[in-house]
Amino acid sequence: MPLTFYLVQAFNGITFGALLFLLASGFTLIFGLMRVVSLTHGAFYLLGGYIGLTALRPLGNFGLAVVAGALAIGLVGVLIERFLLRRVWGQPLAEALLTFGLAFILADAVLMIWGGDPRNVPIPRFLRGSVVAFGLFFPKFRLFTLLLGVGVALFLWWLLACTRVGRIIRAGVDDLEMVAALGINIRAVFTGVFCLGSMLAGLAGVVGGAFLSLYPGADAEILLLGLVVVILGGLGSLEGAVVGSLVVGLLDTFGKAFFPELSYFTIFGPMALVLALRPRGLFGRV
Amino acid sequence: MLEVIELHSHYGTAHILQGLSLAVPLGKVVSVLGRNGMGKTTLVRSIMGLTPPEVRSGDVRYQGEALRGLSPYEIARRGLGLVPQGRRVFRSLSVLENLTLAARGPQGNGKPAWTLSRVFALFPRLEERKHQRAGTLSGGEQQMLAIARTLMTNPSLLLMDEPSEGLAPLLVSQLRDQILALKETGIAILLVEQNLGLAMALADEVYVIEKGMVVFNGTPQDLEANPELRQRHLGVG
Ligand SMILES: Nc1ncnc2c1ncn2[C@@H]1O[C@H](COP(=O)(O)OP(=O)(O)OP(=O)(O)O)[C@@H](O)[C@H]1O
Ligand SMILES: [Mg+2]
Repeated sequence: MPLTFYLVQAFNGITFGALLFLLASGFTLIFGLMRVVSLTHGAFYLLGGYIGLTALRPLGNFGLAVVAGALAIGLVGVLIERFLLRRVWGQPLAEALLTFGLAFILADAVLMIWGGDPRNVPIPRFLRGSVVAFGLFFPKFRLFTLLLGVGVALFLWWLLACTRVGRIIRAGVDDLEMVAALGINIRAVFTGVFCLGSMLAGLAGVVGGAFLSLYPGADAEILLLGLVVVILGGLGSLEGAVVGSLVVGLLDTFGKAFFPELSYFTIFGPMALVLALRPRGLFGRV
Repeated sequence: MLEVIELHSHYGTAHILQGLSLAVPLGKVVSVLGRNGMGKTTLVRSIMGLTPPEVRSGDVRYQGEALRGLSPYEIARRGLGLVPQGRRVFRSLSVLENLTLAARGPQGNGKPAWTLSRVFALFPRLEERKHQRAGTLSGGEQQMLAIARTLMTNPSLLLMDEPSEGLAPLLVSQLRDQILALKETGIAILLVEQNLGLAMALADEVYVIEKGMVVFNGTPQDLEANPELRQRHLGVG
């Protein structure tokens, strides 16, 4: 196969990885601090996408629709954390059942409101078409997704490394109880982190609605890929989410190009291998 | 003053503190002695509001206010500072980050506030290592950091749980001098120890506990004069 084929596939894989990162970064942030595996994350993605789609007409601007999707899901996240998750926090089985059950409820609500036909968030005019370089076509919207992913990664890195909230989050990952015993209201930090993680899922949904499309079942598919990302990279690790997203994006893209009939194996095979050799993932600590 | 009144604490079906009472007067160092597994850490956790254990009856009062039922961060903000057993520094944070994480200004108790420069004056070692990750410090340095981290919250009472555990004799005597310096600032300390010498050198008052109950309460001199008691409850003559 010609080199250009590999270049195009690599570009597609990396940009798909950027979309996965938007989702997985929030997921891993929540797990890192709260030790909660938020199985609602896929449903947050889909709901955020539909909300962005609906908000696009009145707002008239793709950027504002992304913000609307993110804010709406952030609010949903805060309500779920404060009124439901908080009651079962520290009981992994109850947390899993709660977040899983909520995922079903949200998926049904989405089906009721927006129906079962696939919908696309229209790509704004200035992001349509491609950039031509080396005689190859690079779709502008994919480039935009890549930049967004890099931007979110830099923002999260700054938040964790350079701010007081970030220090508290990192300390909480080390020893949650001691953070509380030093007089910090860790519950308030939980709510904030869950809100941020949820917002990222909502944001990913609106972008994903233009990148892929929105349909019942897209929530479970993206959640599955997100889980593979964080298992590969290591639950709770930001670097892990970056590397895991790129690996899964590339595996998915090349897998589908070379062995379309084995597309699940090309993702889950390497994941199983990593789990067997290094159960905490590439960058994980637990 | 901190008062623990008839406290009963449980881990599931295990009844660990069985009606334990003690008091730490303002500005005094009170030491709690007892062998392994007698409930010393359980006592400290119960005071601090940490769960488990579950406190099923009794009261903890500080400056007249009931602490039972408050969450740990609220208890900390009322002036209690925990230096936990095993240090529990935030390993992936730098020394400086550990110190500034929970720093709170003067708490209006009339004492000069703890600042970075005061903490570094007491523990010069920490200043030399301030950019190092806490997980890479030696055991003695981690103990200093655990104390300094809590001082930065400007508590009026310190709960220290076996600070000398695992330290070489030279470091224990250094720790003794540092705790003495703290005592001179007028801070109250509840010092849980297995190191009898350290406790005797620092304490104004001593409690010996066995199976979650107080079996002796008196001055270090009283305990000194009673070898039979020391042998029975602490296993040292
Ligand atoms: N989380 C827990 N669950 C169940 N039992 C516990 C738990 N923590 C402590 N215990 C039990 O409670 C009893 C008192 O333990 P505690 O840690 O208070 O002892 P200690 O006096 O601090 O001992 P040491 O000097 O070894 O630190 C012990 O029998 C211990 O096995
Ligand atoms: Mg103990």
